[in-house]
Amino acid sequence: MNQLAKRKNSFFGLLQMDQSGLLIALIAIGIVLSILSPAFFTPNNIMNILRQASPSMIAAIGMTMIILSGEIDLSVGSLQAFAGVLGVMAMNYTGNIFVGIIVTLGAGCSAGLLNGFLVTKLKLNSLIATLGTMAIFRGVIMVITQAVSQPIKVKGFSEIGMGSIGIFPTPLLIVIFLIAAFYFVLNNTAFGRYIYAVGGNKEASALAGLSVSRIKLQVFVIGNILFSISAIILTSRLDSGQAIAGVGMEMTVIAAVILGGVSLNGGIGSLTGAIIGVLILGVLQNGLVLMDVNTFYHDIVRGTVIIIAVYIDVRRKQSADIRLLKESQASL
Amino acid sequence: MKKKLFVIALCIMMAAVMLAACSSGGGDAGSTDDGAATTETADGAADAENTQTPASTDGTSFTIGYVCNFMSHEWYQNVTNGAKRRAEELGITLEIADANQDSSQQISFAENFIAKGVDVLALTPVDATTLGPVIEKAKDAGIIVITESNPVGGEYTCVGADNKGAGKQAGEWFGNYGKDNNIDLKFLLVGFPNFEDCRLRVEGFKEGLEASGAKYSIEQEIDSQGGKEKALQGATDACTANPDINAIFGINDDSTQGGVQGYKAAGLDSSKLSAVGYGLEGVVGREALQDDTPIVAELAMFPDFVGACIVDASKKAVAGEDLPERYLTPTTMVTKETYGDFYTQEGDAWILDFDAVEALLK
Repeated sequence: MNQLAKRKNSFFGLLQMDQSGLLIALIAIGIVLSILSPAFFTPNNIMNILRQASPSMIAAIGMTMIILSGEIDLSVGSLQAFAGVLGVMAMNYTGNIFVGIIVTLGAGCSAGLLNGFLVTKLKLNSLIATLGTMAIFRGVIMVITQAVSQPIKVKGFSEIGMGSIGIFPTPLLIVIFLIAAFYFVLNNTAFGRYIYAVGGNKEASALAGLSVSRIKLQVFVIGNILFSISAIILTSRLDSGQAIAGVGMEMTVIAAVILGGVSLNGGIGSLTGAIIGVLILGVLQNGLVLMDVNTFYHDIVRGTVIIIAVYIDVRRKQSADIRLLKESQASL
Repeated sequence: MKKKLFVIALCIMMAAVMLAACSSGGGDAGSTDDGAATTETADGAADAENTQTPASTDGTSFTIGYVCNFMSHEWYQNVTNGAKRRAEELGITLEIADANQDSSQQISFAENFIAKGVDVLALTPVDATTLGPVIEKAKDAGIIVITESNPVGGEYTCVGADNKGAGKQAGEWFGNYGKDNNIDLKFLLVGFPNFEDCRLRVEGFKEGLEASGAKYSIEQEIDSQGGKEKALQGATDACTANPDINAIFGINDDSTQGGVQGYKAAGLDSSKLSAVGYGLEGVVGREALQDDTPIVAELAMFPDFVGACIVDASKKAVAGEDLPERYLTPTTMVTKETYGDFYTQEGDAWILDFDAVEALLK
């Protein structure tokens, strides 16, 4: 086995190959914030960041799969409200948390079927189709609730988003489980390889016998179910179903996924990169509040750091590619 | 062929579901998403295209065209509900359009009302700086213009609360609460600095605190952008950085409750927290006040009464009565114990007693 293959086959090698630039950026931001704010690098605050970032991390898993398959889903933010509020209404009506969760997941599954149907059967561009469903989901939930938030009347539901198991926040444990599961799916199963294939080259995948439409439909359904899981956590944290929940979340999640190195053209990128992307944005948001930075400066700082982080990553990948090319030439 | 039929059938089903949802839930808002100037009369009988403007402007029978800012918010729903209730009482025709936070849409709706020849044009500005020309146009057409919340300039009067004064009321109350309960208040202020009204509330709150002579410190101020989600996130971070915080003031109900949630999320003991909200906009504020939460009081703005005042001010203006630049609506601190002084329960609904609010003005 040559050096290139050896390096690619080890976990740390993979990290070094694909995400080390981002990881360095995340650590650098962490060090700077630790120096500037003594409250930053404390166990409480680290758990706080991970808890806060949990809904976005789960949504990022779904978004990564959808973007890897060559599509995009702008309805993620509206789905937080749509699925979350329906779940709360069902839960309040029945007094049963389980029913609320099933309704929320069902809403996510239905949304995925609708989005997937529009893209794969009606052949609509996913950007346009999900722009439409984004408006529809938000509009329907506004009509149903008349924009009045729905307080949760069943005790215990808030534990999903606010509770802890041992020292670990409950949503973080859900995130860890989902990351592990979908890391395995994307990297170790035929379905995962099909997602990369249809996103990388749709025509070649079809010629190779893959059912591109079916795979994309499945990805939309799985992605939207993941969005609805993030809606469960967000709703639980807000202790109410909010018709305005998740406004702008699509931009945060897509920015984090792209920041994590996932190509908008599909077929290139990894789950770990997307998760690091979410963490960079979450850490930055947290740090700016801890340092009591005027809110008007937040967007400027966030935008600047995204550009610097991506620049570091691109430069590192370029130099890694050159080094690997030299190594492979030397081994021939 | 079968596939096409399947697709058509699905589309019809989707449309049917959407229509069913719309017809079942859309009762009172009087807004649609199609961009049309959806309006309704006080008796709910006619829309903008069909309603005839009464010719009489004798002060008892006339038409108000009201372009609301954002009817997808509980505050504005209650404002319009109050306006409809008062218009019904007085036999005045009220037509409502929703700008949906879009300045250009607001101008279009205002122009539609001018073209229809309403007697009074009432506006809750999305952006006060954009409305000068349309107000001039209305005045040229002999239409009285009344604004709500934010003065534009050139209007007959501007109906609304004194945000700074009300903030001061809340600050004084909270300061006295701290003194009465021997609490050294360490504040988290949950604001919305992009919005002038909200900046004024915070400014007034600080002045009120100072005037109360209470021992206090402001540990941090965060931006909720008016919503619970951002308030929760910011408050969690702020309470992590400042675990001594034991008091929260929010510029509206959602901001206050998001702040309280954030305090809990940071792992702090909520029995040590006292919070005061601003607005008491509707269900959210009422339930927070009535349930066992750290929210000890709310600065009530009585949105239903604000709506009623739009109609009252219009009536006075049509009758030729001189009105001040600011037609102030009352505010007061409401606690769990005093909520019943202003609202009475009828079934699941709580109805504002206009007389009780009016008495605050005396």
